[in-house]
Amino acid sequence: MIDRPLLIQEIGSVKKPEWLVSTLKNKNATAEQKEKARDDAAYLNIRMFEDIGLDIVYDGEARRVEMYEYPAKNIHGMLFSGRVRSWDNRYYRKARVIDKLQYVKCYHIDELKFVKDHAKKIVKIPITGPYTMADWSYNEYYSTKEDLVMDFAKKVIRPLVKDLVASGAQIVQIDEPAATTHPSEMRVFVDAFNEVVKGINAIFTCHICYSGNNYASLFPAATEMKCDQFALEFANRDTWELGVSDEKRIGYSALKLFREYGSKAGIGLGVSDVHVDKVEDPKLVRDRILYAVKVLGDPKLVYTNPDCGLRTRSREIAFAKLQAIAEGTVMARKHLGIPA
Amino acid sequence: MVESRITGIYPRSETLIEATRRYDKKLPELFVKEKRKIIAHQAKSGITHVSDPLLDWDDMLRPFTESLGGVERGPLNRFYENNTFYRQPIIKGEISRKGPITKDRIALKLFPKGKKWKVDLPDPYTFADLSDNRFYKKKEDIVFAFAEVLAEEVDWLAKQGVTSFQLNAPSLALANDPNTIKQAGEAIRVALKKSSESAVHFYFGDISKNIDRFLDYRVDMIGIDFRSTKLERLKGTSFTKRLGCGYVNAQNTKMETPKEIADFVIKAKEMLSPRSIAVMPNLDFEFIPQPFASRKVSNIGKACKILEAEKI
Repeated sequence: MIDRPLLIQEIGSVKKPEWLVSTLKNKNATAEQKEKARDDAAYLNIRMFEDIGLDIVYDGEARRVEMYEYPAKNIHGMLFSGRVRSWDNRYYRKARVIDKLQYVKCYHIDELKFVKDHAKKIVKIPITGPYTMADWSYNEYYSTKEDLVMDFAKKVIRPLVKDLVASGAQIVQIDEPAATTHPSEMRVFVDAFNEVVKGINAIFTCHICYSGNNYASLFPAATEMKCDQFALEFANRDTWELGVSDEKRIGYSALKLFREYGSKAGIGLGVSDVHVDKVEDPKLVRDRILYAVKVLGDPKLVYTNPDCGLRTRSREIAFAKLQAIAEGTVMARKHLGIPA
Repeated sequence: MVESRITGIYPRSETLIEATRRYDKKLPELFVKEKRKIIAHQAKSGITHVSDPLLDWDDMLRPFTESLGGVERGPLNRFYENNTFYRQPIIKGEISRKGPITKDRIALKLFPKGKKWKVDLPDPYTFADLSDNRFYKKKEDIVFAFAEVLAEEVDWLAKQGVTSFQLNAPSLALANDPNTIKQAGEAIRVALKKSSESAVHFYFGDISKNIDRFLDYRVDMIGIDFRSTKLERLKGTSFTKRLGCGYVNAQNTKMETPKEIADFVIKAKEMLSPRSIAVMPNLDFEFIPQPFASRKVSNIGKACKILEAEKI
């Protein structure tokens, strides 16, 4: 891991600016104008993240439609079927796997190069992991789900990661929000993750959110993952009261599992709830961090971030939340005597 | 004639998805128009028990969550092991029915004459299991309070001409405790006492270990999700009721042929010797886009014709 405690990072997408959406939807806009708009949005996001004080940045996924749809469009063997409900009137496009999966091209290479050219801080690239790609698709080709997951890992995501690392990616965040959806499939998830990263010289983090069972199903299998950091959602389950007691920090109880199972991995600590507009008091962020340090016993194991990507919030709210995370982290560093 | 039925919430069309996203002013009319089309498709496909596609139900509990006394709408929770979420009912007081809950949510006027009218409702244990209880002492108290509410609703719907009721019971399919299963069965009896034709459908869980307990329920039909419960594991069961044969996979776009469906039904009949069989999907079609669901409904109808030709 990076040998500095309490680094601040983003997790995923932020809402696209209105002008970017308008340009992309404008039938009269040229390809060059659309690319320029994407570049501008990515640049703006990088600058804002860095100005706020984040230590590890990307581009707020300014070029991606969505975390599943974007890769699915670029993988041979997948065909979109239509939309299915996520909740209420919210839908997502879901693809069918109708042929043997094949890696076609490094679909994140342009954005990685752009971020590396423009970021001054440490760069981390988020990608969608093999288990989530499989779980969110209809399997019409493979005999078993395990075969599908492992082919996503071997034939698509691993080649992608190798290409990204060869192009200079040093930290790769593998997004696996589906990881804990089916507790009985944890072995498949872990094997697929390890298959993707084996022998590749980079730092690997894994983002999992909204597990429904407070991450209990991750254990003990997660201890076998070749994963340097688990970036998880906690704030969504926590109280809004200040303090570092177990009672006040009820949302962070899963941290004890990492300690009890002897996990050496870092924790990307979700300290901001991405589903509400209310902005966290930096003191609350501070206390959440101090509680995590108390449980894990080492501030170098703790990174701070929102629970998940902030794209469901307005840009104003999203950046205010990131600002609160940065301020709260600075307070925690000060409290622990860690130099800024 | 071989009986057939569709289960629970049907997927919205792309037109309706777009309209709901922009809160179109004509949404109520559009819901009726789309429901009419889907019910007509069921009838044309030869489905014997037509049902409302529940396009305006945001989840299987929502009409109850939003209209019952003592219940408030809670946070989004994962719906079993799916990438789909529901609003958790929060029980804050005594559960009470303020009037007909499904009056504006089941389009009875669209049901065709000459077909059996079926209504899908959540089973009492599933409602209790998916709720956040902040009022009753025990979960079982919610189960029976909700069963009483359902009984009133079933009575009202029966008076409107509904002849068949199906309680959907995913949580019960996942239950293991014999006492819980027994009590849930008693609550189902309370809920369906005014029903002339009753069914409980179990999905998302393997019910092979508890099948004998479920067969003790006082209902006409036991529906089984054969994607979660392997037929072979039921071998030796004395199936004393009608079997709801949930073979068609409502969670995958892969299309079963009519012959494949018919072959499975024949195999199930030979193995279990049920009193009779109803052909159905394993669960709600809302997990696949509508064009795929519509083809699967047609194939269920065609499978029934094959079975009728073979005098099954």
